[in-house]
Amino acid sequence: MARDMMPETLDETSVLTKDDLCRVCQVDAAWIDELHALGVLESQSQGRAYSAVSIRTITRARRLERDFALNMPGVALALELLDEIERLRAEVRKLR
Amino acid sequence: MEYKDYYKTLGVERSASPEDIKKAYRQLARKFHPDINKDAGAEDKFKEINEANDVLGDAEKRKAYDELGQGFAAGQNFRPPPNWEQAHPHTQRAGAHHAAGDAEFSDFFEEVFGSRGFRQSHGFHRTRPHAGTGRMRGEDAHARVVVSLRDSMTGATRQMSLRVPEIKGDRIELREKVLEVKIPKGITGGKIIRLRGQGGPGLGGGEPGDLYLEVEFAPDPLFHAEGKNVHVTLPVTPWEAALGATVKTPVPGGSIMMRIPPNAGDGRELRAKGKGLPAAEPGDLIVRLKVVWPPADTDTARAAYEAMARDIPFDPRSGLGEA
Repeated sequence: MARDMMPETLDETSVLTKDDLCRVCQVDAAWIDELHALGVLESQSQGRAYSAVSIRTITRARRLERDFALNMPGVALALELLDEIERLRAEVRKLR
Repeated sequence: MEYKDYYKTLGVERSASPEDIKKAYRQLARKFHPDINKDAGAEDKFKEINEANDVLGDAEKRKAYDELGQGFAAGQNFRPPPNWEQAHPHTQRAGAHHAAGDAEFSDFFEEVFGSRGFRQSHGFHRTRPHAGTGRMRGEDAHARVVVSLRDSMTGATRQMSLRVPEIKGDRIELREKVLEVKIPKGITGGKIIRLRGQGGPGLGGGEPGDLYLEVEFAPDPLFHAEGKNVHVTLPVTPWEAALGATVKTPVPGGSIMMRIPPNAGDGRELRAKGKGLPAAEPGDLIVRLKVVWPPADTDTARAAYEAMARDIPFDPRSGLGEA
């Protein structure tokens, strides 16, 4: 068993280039551009760099596209609605 | 190994048309997809559905599965016929593999369809050019890790079992790999843990890929974490809320004495600075008061309510207008 690996924590302050993001998430640059154009991903330096939390958005988007045969506007809508549901559920938990 | 009844998994007849299968898969996927359904168990259920669809949704694989499946029932002990590989040479066809944590299939599937061949890459786009030539960095792998508030308070170690591709000669095989992962203290939901070199193996002396763990917080019965701040609902009596009091309040990993100011109403939020999740600047605990009224089920309680009704001029409906 591998032990004593130093885990690195990435958050919204960690920055990845678009190339990094393509490699990490195994998607094409054009695919990221499309998500960006739809307003799903917030970029830094005009679409050349992204925060590391984009990894989560991209992998979710990729799964939704694949598992439900959605087109990109459909993916964007699903992500927005899922985020809204998550936010509302959190609100309900706080008020209980 | 257990025989898997893929028709039962999708809830369709053995005679179902490809359209019926697609329809059943889509309906079940909407219900159990782990990005949609956060219940424990949904992810495993979705894996089964996905695997069933991978086989039944593909004419060639479905035919092979049907040939094999005569006389087996779900859960029954299963061994493929001895001449299976010769009869179905395409099961050995070289093909793409899945990244760790992405669509793991059962042992039954691996035995029948091979971990490479039949398994199609309906996963991520392949962006890497010229597979097989020269040095190539290993693929980055992704998985999800669910942590509790307690894990974040103290830090934790988590054993994770992942299937990672491994190069055996000129073939790629999936191998079970057990990792002991340190969950850093103060981790919050939505963050990503990167473990360098723990992804797929490199080719031709290339570096291995990294492993990315997406952190999710498990719901806690008492607390709700939002970033590094932690929310809790604190029940108080009407007299504690009205007159002010100092009451014992749960915080992650213990309790504190919290001062409630006089005339703190129902729903009032109080903040205990630094009592949230650990960080360079620790998060806060946000305490939401919930006034709980005692039932009027004794003479004393009833008398107290009657005294209030008589002596306190109070109309909570004065803002509702004339009825």
